[in-house]
Amino acid sequence: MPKYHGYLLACIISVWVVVLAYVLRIWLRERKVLSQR
Amino acid sequence: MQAFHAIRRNQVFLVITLAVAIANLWLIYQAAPLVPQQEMAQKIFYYHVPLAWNAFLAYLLVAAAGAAYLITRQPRWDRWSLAGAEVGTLFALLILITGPIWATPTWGRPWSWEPRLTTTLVLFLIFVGYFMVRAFSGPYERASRYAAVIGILAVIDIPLILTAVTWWAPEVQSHPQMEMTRQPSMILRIFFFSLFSFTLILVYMLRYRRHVSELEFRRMARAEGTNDA
Repeated sequence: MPKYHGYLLACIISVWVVVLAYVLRIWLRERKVLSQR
Repeated sequence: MQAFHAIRRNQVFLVITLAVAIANLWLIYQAAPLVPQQEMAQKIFYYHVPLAWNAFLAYLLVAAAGAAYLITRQPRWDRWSLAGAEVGTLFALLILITGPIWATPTWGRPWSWEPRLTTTLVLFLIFVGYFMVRAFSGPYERASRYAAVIGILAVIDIPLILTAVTWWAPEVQSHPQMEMTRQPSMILRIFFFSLFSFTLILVYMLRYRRHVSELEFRRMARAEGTNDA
């Protein structure tokens, strides 16, 4: 396995975790607003 | 107004965004050439730099929409500005996460107080202040006005970040001073594909966030209307 593979993996995982957490947060806000109609 | 993902064109946009992101991952892992010494750590560049360019794009939107809000006082501009600030700050946070991950094997330490890193951290902190002003400035109209002014002033930091590697003396620099045109064509092609992928992610997140702001604004307006009646 090439050197520093773990660093690239850590970078990709952290980016997607943060992006998906933010999208989930928006989705929850949307659900909350739509349920209050 | 309906849910964002109930709209057909938003579903199509999401599918395209995800497909491009998966293709981008494959290209980075399988097709991008290994650079001697840095090896896999160099491939962080395909995530780190597009994140930075898109964060700046989002912050330019904050400034432009903020200026439009100050001129027209139409709340729809403020909602674009807020979406840009949130997604831009999220991307700025990711620059500050991925940068140290790359620096740890390359420099031997995750952080250095050199010009580009410091000016990027300053930009991130300005926008932390931006959200505090929004939260604690009282009425919606006043908070939006103050936030618009901060958003416009904050973009002054972007040219500072971009030119930091040449403006400050070489002795204080540790950030790579890469000229894009000197990169091998394979690296450049994958870089621009990655840039395209992150721009799609940015546009998706901006539109989704603005949509939810619009829903919240309409609900608030309706609730105030009901209270008045």
